[in-house]
Amino acid sequence: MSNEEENRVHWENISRGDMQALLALHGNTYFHLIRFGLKICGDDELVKDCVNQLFLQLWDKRAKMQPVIQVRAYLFTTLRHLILDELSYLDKMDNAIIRMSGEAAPNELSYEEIIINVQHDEELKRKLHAAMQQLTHRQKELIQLKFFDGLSYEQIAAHTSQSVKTAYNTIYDAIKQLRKLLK
Amino acid sequence: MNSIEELVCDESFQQFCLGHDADTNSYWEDQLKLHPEMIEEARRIVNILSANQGSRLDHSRQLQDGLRQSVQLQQLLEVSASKGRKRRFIYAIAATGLILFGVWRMLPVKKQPATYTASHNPRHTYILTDGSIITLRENGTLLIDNDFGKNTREVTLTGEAFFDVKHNDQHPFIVHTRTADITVLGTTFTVSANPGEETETTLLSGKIAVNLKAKPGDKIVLQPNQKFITRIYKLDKKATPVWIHNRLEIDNEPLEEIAKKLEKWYGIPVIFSDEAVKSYRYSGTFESESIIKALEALQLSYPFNFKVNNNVIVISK
Repeated sequence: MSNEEENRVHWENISRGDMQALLALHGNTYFHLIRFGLKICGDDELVKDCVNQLFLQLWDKRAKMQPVIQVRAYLFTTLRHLILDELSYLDKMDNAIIRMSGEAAPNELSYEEIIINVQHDEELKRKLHAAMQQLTHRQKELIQLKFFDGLSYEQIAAHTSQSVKTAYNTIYDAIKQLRKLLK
Repeated sequence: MNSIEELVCDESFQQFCLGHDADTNSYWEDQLKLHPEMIEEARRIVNILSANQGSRLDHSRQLQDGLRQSVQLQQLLEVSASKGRKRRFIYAIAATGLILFGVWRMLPVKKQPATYTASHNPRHTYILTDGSIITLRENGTLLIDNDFGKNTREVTLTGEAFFDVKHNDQHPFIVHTRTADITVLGTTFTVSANPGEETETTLLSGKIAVNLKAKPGDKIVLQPNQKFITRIYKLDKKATPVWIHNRLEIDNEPLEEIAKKLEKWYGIPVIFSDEAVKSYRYSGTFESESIIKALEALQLSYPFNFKVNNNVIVISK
């Protein structure tokens, strides 16, 4: 069964009041939702809160749930609304800007922007920015695939047409460099 | 033991950091005890590079707590509903805002407490001895216990009021109403306790515990500073209490005029201890739930001082 087929089964079971199915759907989609949210706003705390809210709402409305074909797409859309609502609530000044952008997707944040945004320590932000500048394009790409997108070394190798060993070594060297720069 | 770089690059270690259910997790738990500094440093790097995506297991636990509270709340609601009156509770928490509590009438009181009332003014603001700000709506009455602030901070409300409670861990602030006791640990919220109306409860920020008298012993704790968000009912923006939400539009007006407006809106005297400050001019649109917040918003644009003395606000340079 594909992930999406599994999700559809969970969805049906949730509508029948199965709380385990809700937790299973959460487990299946958690990282996808977090990554999607981070690209919208780059605030990990807010994104995690909204993901939590999304599932609590789902549970609350389970009796009225309609069958959905694209479960993940549905969750993404709902999460987007929650995040934009939260952002507009937090900052009323930005309200107008968000409304103006309407349904159009706001500019996605890049991996570098996200990892810097979620840090609160100014010193670390600065160091991280400088450190990322030192990495080659390839190193950055592989670091993102490994740590942000959560791919395995096999998947990265296939994705970038190189051997697993090369992929591992590229990441290993990048980590070694980063460690020095982030001390 | 591996180097920190090797740890960071280890897939089973990464899984451990991200909270996947993996068989190797117990191995890493043991390693964490044996080499805490190394493991923590490696985990720090993984967290930075994963943009704090966090641990799926931890997050799942938070969700389960939230679900449990939601189920508890549902049970409480069923008890309330079976009492014959239809009620609707809305709970929501967000990073900032206020809380609106619903139709609860006052408790019988034992001693002779001090009574604050808004009577027929649209709003009346009082500042309690502990620095908490209470804005009562028309016909709202607040009874303050005689020993308020000594060991406890307990008040009894009928009608509607906005609270901006001073934080004090030792002495929680308790609002009694006919059907519920609300324990507050420093937050802003409103309580609507009008008899015979539909109940709406909206919690947007702060940390509170609600005990419904219909079901004593069952306590619901809502605390967003642990970053737990429950939104059992989505907050409709219109649901924010209009009566307390002051939108102040000023266009190059002197502080003296602004102070008059605030005095009228919140129902608390505002005086000046300094002449020069009266003529400071301000422009802009401010939205606030308390007079203190409104003044603080003004201070941001050009600084002045203010303090509260015996329920009078005194503005100085």
